[in-house]
Amino acid sequence: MPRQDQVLVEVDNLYKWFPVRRSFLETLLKGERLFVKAVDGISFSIKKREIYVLAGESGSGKTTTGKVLVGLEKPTRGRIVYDGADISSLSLKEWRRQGLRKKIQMIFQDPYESLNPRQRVLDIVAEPLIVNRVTRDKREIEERVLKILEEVKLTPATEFAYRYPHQLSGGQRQRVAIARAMVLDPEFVVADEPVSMLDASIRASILDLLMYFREHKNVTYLYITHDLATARYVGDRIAIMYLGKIVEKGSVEDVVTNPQHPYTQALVSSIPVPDPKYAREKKRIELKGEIPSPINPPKGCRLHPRCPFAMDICSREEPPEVEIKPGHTVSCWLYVKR
Amino acid sequence: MKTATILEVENLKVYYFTQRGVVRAVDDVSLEIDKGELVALVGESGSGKSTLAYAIMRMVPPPGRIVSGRIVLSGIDITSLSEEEVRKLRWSKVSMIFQGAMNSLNPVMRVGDQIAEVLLYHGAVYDVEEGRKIARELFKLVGLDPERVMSYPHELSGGQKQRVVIAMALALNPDLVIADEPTTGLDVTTQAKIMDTIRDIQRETGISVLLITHDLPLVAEVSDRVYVMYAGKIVETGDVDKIFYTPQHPYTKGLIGAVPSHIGPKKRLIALPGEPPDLRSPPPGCRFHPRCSYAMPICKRKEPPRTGTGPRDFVECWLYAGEEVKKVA
Repeated sequence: MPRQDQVLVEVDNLYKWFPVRRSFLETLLKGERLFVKAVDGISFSIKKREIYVLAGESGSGKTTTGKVLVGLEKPTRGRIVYDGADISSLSLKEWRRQGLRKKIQMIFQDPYESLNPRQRVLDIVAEPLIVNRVTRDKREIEERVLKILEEVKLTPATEFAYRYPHQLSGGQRQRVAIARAMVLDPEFVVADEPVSMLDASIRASILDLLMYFREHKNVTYLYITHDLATARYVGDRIAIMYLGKIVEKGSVEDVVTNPQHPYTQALVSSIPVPDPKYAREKKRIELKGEIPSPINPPKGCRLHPRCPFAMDICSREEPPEVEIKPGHTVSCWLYVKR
Repeated sequence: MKTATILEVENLKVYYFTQRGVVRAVDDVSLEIDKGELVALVGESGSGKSTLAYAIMRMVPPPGRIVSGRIVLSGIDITSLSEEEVRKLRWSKVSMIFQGAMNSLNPVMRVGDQIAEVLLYHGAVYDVEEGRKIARELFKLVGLDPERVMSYPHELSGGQKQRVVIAMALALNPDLVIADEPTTGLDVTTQAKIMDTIRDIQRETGISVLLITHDLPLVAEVSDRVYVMYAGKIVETGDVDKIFYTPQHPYTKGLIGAVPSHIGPKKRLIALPGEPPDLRSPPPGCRFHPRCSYAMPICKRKEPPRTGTGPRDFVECWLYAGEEVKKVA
């Protein structure tokens, strides 16, 4: 078993910019090229057997970060170190040669769109074994598929294997998606909002399943979500993203129950609470307006036009990362002693 | 003094007659809403909650049909009205914020004009200019810049579009607004603001709201009373504090136990086993019994009786039936 505090994934000053497509004429007239700065210089590290949460609202860059980590997007700048090796500039061929395709997997948000409707569950789950040339033996493929279906509790597996996605409920589909990700025994899985499309009563069982693979197969996760309540349930540590930057990092318990950054405070105070009396009395921290465009993000601190506590300096200079207690950092001028 | 009841649904049955069998989507449901109340109807996908909403709008899509029961809206029994008569009541007596409605605004029409169109159609105004004027007022009410009436949907954010849809639902000053998952697909911070807006308007104008959702925490935040629906039936109802602090039905308890919270001590979540049933062939007896950890032999044979203090405070579960009832059964 790996040591608890060994780092598996290290993300160091990662950038992912997407060029904005413009006509030739526009480029001539307006000069400089424009970019959507989806991920704009973030750093964090994930320890082995950890569930690391990346949280934020739409447009924060959390999903782009996940895609870069599984190799679906190439980073614009910055370093990703996986199990001690720099993988940030690997070509697709190299990525496969080093076995990263097998070691790193992703689970997508929408089980209604991520499964091929014309394939049976057996074929869907077998595909990673085939494309990665793990084995060609039909018997062995079927055995491995049935075994993983048992593990994700799609039982009787021999029955589920021959069904099509439309014959399954949302929760069962997500179990198929998890089986497909786990059939190769990956070390690291990026789970992008894996329960947000599911009904409340079955969410907990899907989250339990993710934790089962951590306990029994030593899987490490990056769990991407906008839902801090489920994040608290599964996560160990968390980073809160806003407009391509990380604004706060720490243990999930610290960040969610004692948020420090104004954005995190607004996010936490917006979450509905299943407790009517508490809900009637709670005070909400409101942000003004809406999230600005990531093409030309605000200067200084990106939250300053919306922040209820904004000061002069916030519009001029980017805030430094301040450690307010061991392991809990916040990027905000309010916490800088001057 | 008793406040006026705006909506009364009595023993309503809505079935879909499909080629593969009859889907009993709403099966003997009763529900009532007073003037100025915000009542939540909670259920999972396939529980029949949206079908119930469509029935109240008299918009059940074929092959669905209201089989029996009554829907009385502001004193009018709408169950037997002709399509023509119902059309006059829609929007003016009852309106609906449809799930995902913000994505079905007409993309090539100014949003203010889309509201003016509703007003014109119902004869509330004589020309578009007057309609736009009212649209401006409505925009102020829902927290939008009145100048936005001239915008096209693509120029607005998701939250702003949802506010347009809410303004449209309020355009003819209805007695009841049905809001079907009004905040799904929106970000958490936007969700909170939209729900605040709905709640504020409801308090200011005394309008009644039926909130349809699967999101329990949302229900806890805004509603006065709650109906819990499972597999086509109302299994429990009561005021919001009762439902959250002293739930009785194992399904309600299960739902509450399965939802994580970001406040208070971190609790272990207990997932409900299994999945909701196929409503073409719901389980006999209590429909929840295959997933219920308290199930007794009788639950598999007979539908549970109703126990409670009245139509606004009851549970349908054998655990709460008196001994003599069980003996008769």
